[in-house]
Amino acid sequence: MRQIFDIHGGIHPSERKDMSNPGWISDCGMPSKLVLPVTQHIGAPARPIVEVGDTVLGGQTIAEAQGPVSVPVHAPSSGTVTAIEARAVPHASGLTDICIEISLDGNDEWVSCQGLDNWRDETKAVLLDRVRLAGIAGLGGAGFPTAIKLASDRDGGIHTLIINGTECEPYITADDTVMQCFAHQIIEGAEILAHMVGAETVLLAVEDNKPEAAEAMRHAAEALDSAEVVTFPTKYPSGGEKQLIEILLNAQVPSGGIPADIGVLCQNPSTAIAVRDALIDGKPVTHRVTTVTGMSLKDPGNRRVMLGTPIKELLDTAGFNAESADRVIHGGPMMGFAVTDLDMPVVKITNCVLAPTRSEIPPPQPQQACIRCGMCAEACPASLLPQQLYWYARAKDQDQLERHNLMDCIECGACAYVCPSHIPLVQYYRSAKGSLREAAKEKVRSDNSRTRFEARQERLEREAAAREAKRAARKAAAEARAKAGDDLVQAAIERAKAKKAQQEAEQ
Amino acid sequence: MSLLHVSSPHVHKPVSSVEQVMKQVLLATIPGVLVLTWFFGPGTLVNIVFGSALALAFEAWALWLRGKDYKTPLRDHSVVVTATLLCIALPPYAPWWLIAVGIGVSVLLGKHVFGGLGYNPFNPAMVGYVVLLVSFPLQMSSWTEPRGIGEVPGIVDAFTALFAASSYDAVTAATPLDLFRQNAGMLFGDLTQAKAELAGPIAGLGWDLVNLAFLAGGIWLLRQRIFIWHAPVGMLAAHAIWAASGWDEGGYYSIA
Repeated sequence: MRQIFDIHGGIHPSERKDMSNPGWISDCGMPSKLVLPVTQHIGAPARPIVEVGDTVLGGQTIAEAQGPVSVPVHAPSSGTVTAIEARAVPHASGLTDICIEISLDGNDEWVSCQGLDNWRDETKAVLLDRVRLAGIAGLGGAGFPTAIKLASDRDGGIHTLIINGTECEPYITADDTVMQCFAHQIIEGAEILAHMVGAETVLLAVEDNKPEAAEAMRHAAEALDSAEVVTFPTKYPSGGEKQLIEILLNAQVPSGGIPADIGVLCQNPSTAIAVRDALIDGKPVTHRVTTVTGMSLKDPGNRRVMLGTPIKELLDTAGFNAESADRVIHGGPMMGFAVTDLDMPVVKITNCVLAPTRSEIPPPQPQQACIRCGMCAEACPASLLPQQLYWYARAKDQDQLERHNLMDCIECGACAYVCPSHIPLVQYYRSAKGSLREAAKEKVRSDNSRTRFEARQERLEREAAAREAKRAARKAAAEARAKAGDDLVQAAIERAKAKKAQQEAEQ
Repeated sequence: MSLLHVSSPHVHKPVSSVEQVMKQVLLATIPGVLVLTWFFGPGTLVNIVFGSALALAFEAWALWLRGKDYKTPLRDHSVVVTATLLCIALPPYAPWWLIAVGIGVSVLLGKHVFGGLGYNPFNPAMVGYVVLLVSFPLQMSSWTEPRGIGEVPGIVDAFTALFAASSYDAVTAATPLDLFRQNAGMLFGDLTQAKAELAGPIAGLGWDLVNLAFLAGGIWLLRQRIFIWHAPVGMLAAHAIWAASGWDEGGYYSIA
């Protein structure tokens, strides 16, 4: 048995995972249309390479990656492109994004997919390229381009790959279900990932509230010598990358750093499968398993759903009662955001759509004054001081916010969960983080313009000095010439005088 | 259907509110108050009831003066906690004006001049206590004798004392720590032999059990995760270390 460690803080919210019947997947079916945003990942948006009216096949690239931190988008099924325009997309700030709308023909015709015969024989560059072209971005909810994560090549390399099947958010059972149903594919994916980054150890991390998933993984892991399933007590937010590393390895990712800094790589089980599918089957990311749950649904559960399926249609497959819900949440109840428009599509990061009733998740209570009880600091898994951060965020004291490591806040919401005064702490932190980022950008901008200004000043001075030098030289030359000129005149006068004197003398 | 747009987290710890925290603090004082009442009669209870009523009135008045909603904050029990803590610290059978001054100072100067709930730099009850202690030292040190030494007053006596203070001078006695101060010349051991007030099973008669009862309330609060142990243990440890550093075989300075 591997020793496990505890993290600071954490909470035990009501899990309600049974509602979505983990371990069973049903197909969401063919929606009437798909709406595919060009940004389903963190980074630069993909660029559409189809036009309205084009027919597309399943698996066809419809938007290609732009720049290094970007991934392409593929059509999940065959049909016709009917629109390319800005639409509401799942985003914490309710932004819009360019979306490619595909009207499906129902035939589900696919391009032919060519996998690698033996991925072990390929170079890392080829494998990375495959991962990138398959449009893989962290499917656990963060959406960071997987190829970038795999490529980051720091000193010391990666010694441990962690497949993060913690799934500590209440309600969500997508990873649990994927682990129960596709354990072998996860192990295959993990083997590829470990090979790519050179990790000697593969840890399959599962919280102890998912015994079936742990058992399935244990069974599948027999095929991979370097793999070990580790279970640990259920506590939110054990699934946070940095928290999980601390639980498994008793090591902390440095403030502002990433797991690769200490030789660790974390990947979600579904991401591992996507990597496996991309390399062995040659298939891009076009579907995902999403938990559809909440008491506003007659038939909650896990669905295999095409990316781009409107959330409304997904909810309808589960018997959605719109009357009883006053919010629909993209993601889980702790970190998910409220959906503003049910026409928004399911995207790569949609691990859950939660439609609770009003009594299940009541509207927020009014904020009261902070009574400095300190419960937030007890709950914070990042060992920050939420109360101080709250005061500094309200005072907009950016120096203090930085000194108190606001940027290390993972926005898990544990502080706000326990706050007896119902202060929406995470909202304050998000807003303050935005200002800090803005200030950092502003600083870069002003530093740049100062450098530019100083360079210009210097150039102007240099030019002025050069002009001055030239002028002085010209003046000196002119004076010299003038002097020389005077001499000539003098000489001429002398000559004229001499001539005159001579003439007079001759007369 | 209009969709609610709120920030995460969407769920909140059940039954966790300022009101709930204050209620738990009040519950935690019950064992201590009961033991106090057993040893010293209903004076403390009368103090608390009278003080809480006054405190609610002061709080409502202060909120009204500040142009705030004065109905909802009254329900958070915070001012009742302040009143209870102050009244526990006051001598039982304190005159009404002593309580009124203490509560007024606590609520107005301790709490509302700084901005009300959560903005007070000091514990309001202790602000009130300190003001009373420096202003009315005589009334503040007039404790009755504990059961076993003196006669414990009844409820009628308690109300009489509240509004006619002078009638209870006869039964007042010094608290154990006062006894040590008044008898600075005696050694610890001799003094506990000589004075019945100090002959409790553990420490001062009655007082030891009062303190254990408050400790029980504190441990319950600790288990309810209302506070963490570091501050009280730190303070008590600091006291113990300083007292121990002056230990001279039991003289007055050894324990004060």
